[in-house]
Amino acid sequence: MRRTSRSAIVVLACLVFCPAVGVGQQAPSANAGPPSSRDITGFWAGQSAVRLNPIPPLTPAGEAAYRANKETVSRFSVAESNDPFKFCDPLGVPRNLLFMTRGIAFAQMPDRMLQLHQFNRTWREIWTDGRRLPQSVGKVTTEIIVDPWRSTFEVSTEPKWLGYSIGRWDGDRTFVVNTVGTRPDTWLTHMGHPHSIGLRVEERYTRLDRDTLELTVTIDDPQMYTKLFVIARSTFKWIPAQQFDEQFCVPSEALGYLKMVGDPAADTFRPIQ
Amino acid sequence: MAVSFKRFWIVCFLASLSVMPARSFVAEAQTAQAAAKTLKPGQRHPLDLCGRPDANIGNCNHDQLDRDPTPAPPAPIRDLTGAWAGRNNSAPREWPALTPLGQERMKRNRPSGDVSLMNANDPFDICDPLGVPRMTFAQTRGLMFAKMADRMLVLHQYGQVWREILTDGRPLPRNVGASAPGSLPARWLGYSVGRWEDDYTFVVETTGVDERTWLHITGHPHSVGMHVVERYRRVDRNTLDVRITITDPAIYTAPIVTTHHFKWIPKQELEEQVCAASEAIQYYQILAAPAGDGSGK
Repeated sequence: MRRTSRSAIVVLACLVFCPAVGVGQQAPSANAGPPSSRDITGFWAGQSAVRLNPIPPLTPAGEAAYRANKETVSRFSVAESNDPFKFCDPLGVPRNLLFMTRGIAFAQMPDRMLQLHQFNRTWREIWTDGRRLPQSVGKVTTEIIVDPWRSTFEVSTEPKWLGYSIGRWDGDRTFVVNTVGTRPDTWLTHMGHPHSIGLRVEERYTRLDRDTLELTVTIDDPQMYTKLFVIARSTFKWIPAQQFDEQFCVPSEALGYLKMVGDPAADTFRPIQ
Repeated sequence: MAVSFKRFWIVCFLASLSVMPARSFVAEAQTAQAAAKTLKPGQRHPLDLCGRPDANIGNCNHDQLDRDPTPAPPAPIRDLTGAWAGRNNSAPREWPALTPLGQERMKRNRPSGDVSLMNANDPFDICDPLGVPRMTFAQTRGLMFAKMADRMLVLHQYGQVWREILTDGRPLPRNVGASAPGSLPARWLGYSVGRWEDDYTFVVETTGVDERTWLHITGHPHSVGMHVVERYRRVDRNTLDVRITITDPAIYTAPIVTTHHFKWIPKQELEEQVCAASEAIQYYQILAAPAGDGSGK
């Protein structure tokens, strides 16, 4: 019962401060025939939260980090939680592929693929110009990647909320994305599973047919997990009207919710009136 | 002896000035790339996002790009695609008189420049969406455009937020925020449509923006009926001239106009610039909260 009510509070919190506003106008479907190969551009509908596979055992460092993350799914109240999502902080990669995924879209630029999220209207760039991933994020290294004919990432590379991503086609139907350098203060899952700065993520987007995109997310983080694992396989469907809702997590609304319902006893911050 | 050496070096210096190439980012980038191959262990890569040799890695500066005298290639036709560096702030400097409703709305807004930070309520301070048009002329150090078949995408460096401007010919909605059935709700980013006025000018119209957004740090408000026109004129491959006109007769007695400017980023990369509310809250707790805030703690 307690578990259910805490989950309900999370859902309620989201409904309160993550308004999803419907769009009234509809457009005819832009895609009348079979998909051209090597094309996942367009707007796709997914589930709000993806069903996760069982997480493998954590390393000792992983266990310690997991215990420090106070999630609201089963163990802690919203008031006690330190989930960065509580204040609308960016979910980061790969949590934004597993949670709040009602809408994702792709658009192609000459040198990169753009991934657009309905949630928070976040965009992400996946370089397709042939560059390599930075080898050592978070510290200055002796490895220097300099190629006058291609762009390079910085040698001393700071971790980012969305990390550094490169993409390529594996055959004509699967787009593969590899990401490193995500900030270690983002969570892997809404259950509080952690990740380290050494996390490597692989996403495989396979267009099964004109209307169906399947995403497989693989996690490789030996600092935190005892083995590489597929964390989820999820399906997205082509949106006929090719429109998203507007769905923002608004910090002032989150603070208002916390003040009234989630954490009324706290003196965290005077909410914006 | 000393005098002739001095003259010798003065002549050398003056001669070198006459043959020194004009400072250009392309030449510097090539030089820097060559130098980077000889980096010592632990030495930072000398190229910043602007492709300039600069220790301040990550900050592509519009003003410095604007001073580059290298002639730019001509503008491509009907194409804004790419990454652009803008002035950080190009908000209107002059504001028309407010209507009575406008004055009443403005009184509710407490800019952080006017009161202590703990008493301000600028949504920017807590990382709320800036909305349109504030995001078109504030926090605009980096911007990217991308084309889809039926819309233009604007990818903002600040907040990692994207905007879509529908280019399929649909009209701007007229019934936003009204109470009649079938009217559309206001949105943080409003509703935008766009079209090419000629081969080099892209015009965007927006309405239906949520009234909780401000126009500027001054606290200037707007209504849901506000109409914003942005005109992006591609002067050459490297330059974007922008003019933004805001019309909101419920709040202002005259239109508001501002201009903006963007330069092509040579390395075509933006920074990651995220406003994280938890970091803002930490800032307020540590720095902005007065010592005795009456909470009893």
